[in-house]
Amino acid sequence: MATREAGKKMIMLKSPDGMEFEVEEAVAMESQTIRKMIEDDCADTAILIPNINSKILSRVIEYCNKHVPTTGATGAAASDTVAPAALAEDLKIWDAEFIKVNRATRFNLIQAASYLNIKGLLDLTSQTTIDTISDNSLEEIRSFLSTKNDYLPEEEQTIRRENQWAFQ
Amino acid sequence: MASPLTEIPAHLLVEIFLRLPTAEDLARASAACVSFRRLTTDGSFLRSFRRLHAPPLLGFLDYGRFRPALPPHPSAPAARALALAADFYFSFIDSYCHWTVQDSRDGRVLLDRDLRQHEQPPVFKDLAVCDPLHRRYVLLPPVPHGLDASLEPLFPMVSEAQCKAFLDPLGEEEIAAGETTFRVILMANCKTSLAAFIFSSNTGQWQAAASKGWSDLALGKHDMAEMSWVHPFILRRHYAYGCFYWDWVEFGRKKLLLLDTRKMEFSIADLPPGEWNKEGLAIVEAGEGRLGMFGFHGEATSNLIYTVARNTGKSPRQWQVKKTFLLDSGYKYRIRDATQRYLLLTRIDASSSLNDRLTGYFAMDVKTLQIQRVYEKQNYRLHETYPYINFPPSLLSSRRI
Repeated sequence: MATREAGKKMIMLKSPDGMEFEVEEAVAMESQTIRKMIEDDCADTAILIPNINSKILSRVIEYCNKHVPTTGATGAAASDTVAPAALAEDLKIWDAEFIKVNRATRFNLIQAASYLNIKGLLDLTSQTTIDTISDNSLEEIRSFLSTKNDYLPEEEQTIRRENQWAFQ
Repeated sequence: MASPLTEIPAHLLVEIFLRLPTAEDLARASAACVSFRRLTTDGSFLRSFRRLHAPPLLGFLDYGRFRPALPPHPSAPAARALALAADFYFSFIDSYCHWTVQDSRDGRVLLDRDLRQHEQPPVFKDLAVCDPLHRRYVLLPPVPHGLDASLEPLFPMVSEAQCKAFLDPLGEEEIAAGETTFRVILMANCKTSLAAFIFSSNTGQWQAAASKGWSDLALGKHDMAEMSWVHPFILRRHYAYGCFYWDWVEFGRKKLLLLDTRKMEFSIADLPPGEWNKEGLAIVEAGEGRLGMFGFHGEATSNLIYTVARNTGKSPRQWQVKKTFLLDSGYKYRIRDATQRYLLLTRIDASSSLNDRLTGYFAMDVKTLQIQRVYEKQNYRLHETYPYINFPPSLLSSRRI
């Protein structure tokens, strides 16, 4: 899949810290934001990806490379021999490894997935935060999401009372 | 940038909060700090959140009581909390013991009152729409005299309940917008005709909406007599894509009465072909504007068939069986009620005695076609059961009914 056959259209992505990444058009188009740029013909030369540094961008590309559909025009070889269920299982294991990153990187990835509009990556990167909110105390939620309790005591009481059903 | 984040930008929090699986999680997140609360109570955020999350089935109302979904049903924690927080005895209404549940939609409950001061119950009873969670209610004004003047004398053989009131479900967009509006439809069954009145909370008024003679609806004199004799009060009511349906399958007829709420027009449609068991059927929204129908095929109730219309429209002619559910033949099943999204079934052991029947309540999610147990109790009664779905709109927004 990594071999770049002649005739396959390549796209240049640039991070704000000056790194350039050459990727297949199909891989770049995993990002709905880039897809739109390409379809609107705004991507003749290199596309500058603002706010996403090279370290994060290279991880995003790694994710897109893995998740680009392997059927059809791009790299048909891989999918012919592997059953779809096994492929999905393989992707799941790969995703679980991919997301073993520290908290700052995870939020940077969420930010990148949000800006580049890559649904699968956004789902994957948000999941830990979602689990934290679902399973932990308010204090733990606050600490995980770097926020402080800034309610006035009477406000907090009202909110706790109104939302009591959610704290059972 | 890769530097440690001190604060997560609001738009990322929105992305994360939209992905929270339930409304409880959202409420917990909103309790963390002021800015989270501001994000999660914002109108456009709530619209997106509601669009992404199907309204949960929290339980059902049965014989004047709320039965919360029990574990392991996924709604059980929310349902338990709702049962603790809400007042399903409606004690916040004057003379509450005289009110009885008539319908439930979108987390609201429609009640009617019979003060029993008259020998003859009044044709139009008092009606109230309640939000049991926030303990609020709206009393509906009576149907103005001018409006009902057009009604012919009501069919004398049906001694009570010539009228049946029910809630008109909110549209998807209205639910997403957290609309506080509601509509109540009152249907009157007369000897030779049917009439419908509609109350809208936007105008605060009743309007005559539709009327049609039985002879214009039914196919022949025989149909007309038989169908008009059976009062819609005792027929099962269904709702899908803006239309109400009533079936006569319990009386062996393969017809549906239809009220199109957009055109406000009565008509008659055919049931999908097949030998449908009288233990009930349910018309549901199968997706993409197509009707779906659940029903038991044949004598026993162990073959539950899901059939879907091949084309869109309110009275399709071609149907296709999408799935057959083979249920445990040691039990008797019955379809109790259905909403657009859920089907409520009961199950009793076929061999146990009548007095000692453990009744299991099951819900089928029409989208996922998963059956889950909701509740279980002793006693088997054949009265009306209303699924209770979603929190009232005033829960997540600050607006109230």
